[in-house]
Amino acid sequence: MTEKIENASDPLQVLSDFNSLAPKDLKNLSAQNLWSLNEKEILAVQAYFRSLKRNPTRAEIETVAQSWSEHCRHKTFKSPIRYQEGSKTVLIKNLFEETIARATRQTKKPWCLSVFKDNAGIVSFGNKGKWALAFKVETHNHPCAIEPKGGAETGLGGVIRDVLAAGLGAKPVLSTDVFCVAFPGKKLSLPPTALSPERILRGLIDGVRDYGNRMGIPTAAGGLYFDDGYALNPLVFVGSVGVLPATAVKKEIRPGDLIVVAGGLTGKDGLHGATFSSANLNGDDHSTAVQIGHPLNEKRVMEALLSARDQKLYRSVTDCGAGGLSSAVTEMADIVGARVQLEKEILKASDMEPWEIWVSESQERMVFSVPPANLKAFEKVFADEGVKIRVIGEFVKTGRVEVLWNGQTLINLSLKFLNNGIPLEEKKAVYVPMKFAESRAAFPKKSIPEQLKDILSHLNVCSREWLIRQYDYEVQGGTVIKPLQGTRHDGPGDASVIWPQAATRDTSDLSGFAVGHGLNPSSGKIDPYQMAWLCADEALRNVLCVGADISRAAFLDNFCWGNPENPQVLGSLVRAALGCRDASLGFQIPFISGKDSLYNESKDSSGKMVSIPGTLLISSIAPVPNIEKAVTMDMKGPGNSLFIVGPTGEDMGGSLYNEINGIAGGTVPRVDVRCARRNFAAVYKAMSKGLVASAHDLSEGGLLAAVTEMAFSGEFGAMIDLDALPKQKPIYSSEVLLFSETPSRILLEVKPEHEAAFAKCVKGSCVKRVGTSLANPIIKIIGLDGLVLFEESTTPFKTAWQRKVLS
Amino acid sequence: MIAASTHKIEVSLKSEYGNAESLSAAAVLKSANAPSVTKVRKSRLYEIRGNFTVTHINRLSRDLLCDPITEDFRILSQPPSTQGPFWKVEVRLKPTVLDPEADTVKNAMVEMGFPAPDFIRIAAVYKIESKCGKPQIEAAAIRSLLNPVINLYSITACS
Repeated sequence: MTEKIENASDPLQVLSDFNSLAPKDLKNLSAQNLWSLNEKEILAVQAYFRSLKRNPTRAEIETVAQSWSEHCRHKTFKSPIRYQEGSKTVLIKNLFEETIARATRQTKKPWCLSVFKDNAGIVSFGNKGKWALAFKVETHNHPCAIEPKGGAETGLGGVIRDVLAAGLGAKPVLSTDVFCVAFPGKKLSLPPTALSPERILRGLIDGVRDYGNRMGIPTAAGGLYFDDGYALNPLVFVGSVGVLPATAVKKEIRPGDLIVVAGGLTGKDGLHGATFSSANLNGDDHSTAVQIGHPLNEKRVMEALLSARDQKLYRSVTDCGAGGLSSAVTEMADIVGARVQLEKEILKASDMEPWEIWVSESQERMVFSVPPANLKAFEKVFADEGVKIRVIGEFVKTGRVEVLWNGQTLINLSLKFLNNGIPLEEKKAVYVPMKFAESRAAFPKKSIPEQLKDILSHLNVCSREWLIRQYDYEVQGGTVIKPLQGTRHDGPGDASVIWPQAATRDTSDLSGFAVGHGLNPSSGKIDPYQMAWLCADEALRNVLCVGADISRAAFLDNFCWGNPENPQVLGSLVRAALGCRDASLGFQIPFISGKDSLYNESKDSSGKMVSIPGTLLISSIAPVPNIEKAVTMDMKGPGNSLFIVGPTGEDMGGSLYNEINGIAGGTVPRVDVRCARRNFAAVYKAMSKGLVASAHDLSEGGLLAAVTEMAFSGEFGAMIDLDALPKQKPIYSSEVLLFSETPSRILLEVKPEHEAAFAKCVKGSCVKRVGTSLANPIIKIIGLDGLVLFEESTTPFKTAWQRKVLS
Repeated sequence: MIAASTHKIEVSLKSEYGNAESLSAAAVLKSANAPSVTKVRKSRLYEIRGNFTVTHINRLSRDLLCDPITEDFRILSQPPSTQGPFWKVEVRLKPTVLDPEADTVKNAMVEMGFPAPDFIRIAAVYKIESKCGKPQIEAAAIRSLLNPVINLYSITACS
């Protein structure tokens, strides 16, 4: 019986000799059936059934496998880890609890309404405290590597359902997408089953566009990052923000309530998605784990759900994601218990085994807990939208999950065993610091304007207009600050601002919110701890630049790493998590939700296992108390003063300038959090008084790239005096001053009539006047010697920036 | 009583409209190692099985499947007269994969008062003018137009 189990005529499929199998055979059995249970885990399952003195059914093992998968259980983040850094070794009992969760607890923010518990993090919103925002960002990496369009569609569909199932249901008002793929057009030696980077990128964009546009949700906050480390394992982060009434945050399960499934029918598609996502990609055909999204079905479920929520027809809801009904029902039953008559589920394929129905991950389904008295009304609401519902069982106070198939017991497991029975293994983590020579500026090979053109036309900097324009970012009529900004609506905005009046239907409340992302894998290759700081800093600056109140910002984490069984990979993951903790405490900003996707490694054409660079995405969400005070990045007029926020240091390690000039490594810049917090608070104060005309953060390409982008977006020019720049220590190189990537810096434009008031606001913080905006569209830089370093028209820079990415 | 049969309807953009989908298909084929591709014409092929009269199919094509301003439809009763030579690549989803477009067409047909079809599948048809041989077209199509994990395909030479 160590072979793959074939479908038998017995619908229960009792594994008749399971309890007598030797450990080696058990391990084989797990591998053959794609359960992804390791030896210790499957032995624990055997011990449990031996104690019950009976053999399990296949459905029971499938349930345990889904529930204990890395995808559902986050084993790496919750297992004890012996972490070694240099000569020091510490035992981390629970990485998640001791880093991210602890930081969130310590920041003690009363406006965090639900963190790490529900399907999304929930914070309070609106000037009357009547509303709440739910935000979730998820990864969908493995399916997207195999079928990019279907993977992106179902990924976005899944995260939208997470937000629909946050509290009693939030109306999605914004979708986000961040992709990490390999450089297109490069000859890479890929194995025959791998898709080319262009193919993957095109598919991902098609998927998000087709699903998001049809759902009627604006896709207005994203990112695209190229690195050849993602050739075999592209990363896809999709997110959703929803608005719900503050009264609909709490959900509960009461014994006697009915278990109701609504939405798409159940089919064979998507079997083993949860366990598959916890395995390495090895070129086998996984067509059942791949699915196509059906946005129109999800749209109907969404409309019906929101209507039923407002009529208070159900007490709890969750989405059917990874693990299908198995995960959804056991998650909802929590400590209460559930009894399911599985034959009542409606199928779209006739040849399904009961266990397949139980774990199928068919899309666009939600599970509700409905009081019996409300069932009729509930059914009507869904029927009006053309959605089929079916009652498949009820919640019972037994502490067990019991599933019957035509009266026969298919599954009878204790929830205590499912939730707490997983044996957690102590893992080993080692952090080995990378050794590089001290960072210094590369010896320039070209003139400064030529270098600037190279930077602006770099794939990680150049215009994303071709991509953004495919998405409907205007639907719902609340995108007050759009992703593309400036006179010709083509400048690179730092973030979008959404005014969710379509959800609140209250046009007297001018509260909006902004969403930003911080992603910096190149610094992670040098030091993952600093990467976490840099991501947090960037995510925060992005939302600050559009006028968001960062004292009420919240973070989301998404960790994508290689195989955590490798101590060095786990070591870098631990270090990034420690960075998240310290950045959260340093900025006093809580994490409200997060996700991890591990085992992102595959064999390349020579059979060598290749892992992605450890990648952390920190997403931020912050309220914009008055959308009329929101700020864009394009220059607004001539004769205005340009102020820089934050001192410049000699931070060339990992900078784009060094990359273009062929210098790797160096030390990653450090965030001076005390200085940054003081500066950011001062900037927000000035913005909230309407004193800032435009703002743009300094990221890849440093000061020169930022000022050029501001100038060509507004179709004005700028003059910058390098001598006026505040510096951490004396710097004598113009290149360093222009291209250094010191974090926490922002460039602001202030009109002359606001300068006095602005100066008062920023008193005591590091904000210095460094130049003026000009009527002529030119960039003029005054060097340290007081002479003009260069003076060039902005047109060639914009042309370079608007290069073509895909053929 | 009409016997159930499979009807095939091909919908393509009128020649006076710039066909972005065809141009993009040509570009991706060229970048996927089929440089001699000179022209691609893309169309949609609906395969509908059920008890329908010719009038039904005609009305269905005109009112639902095709945008009469920008598109033409053709009911394929016999192998169509072709303007070859070209390679015809037909790409459809595997029967095990959900086809949301077909599902939507099916629902719309019922709402419009047509009898419910037994089966609908939608295929993409690429007519590729190229000097490449079949193996090269097949390899390029797999690299750019279709994904064997979810798609079935057929490649035929038309003259």
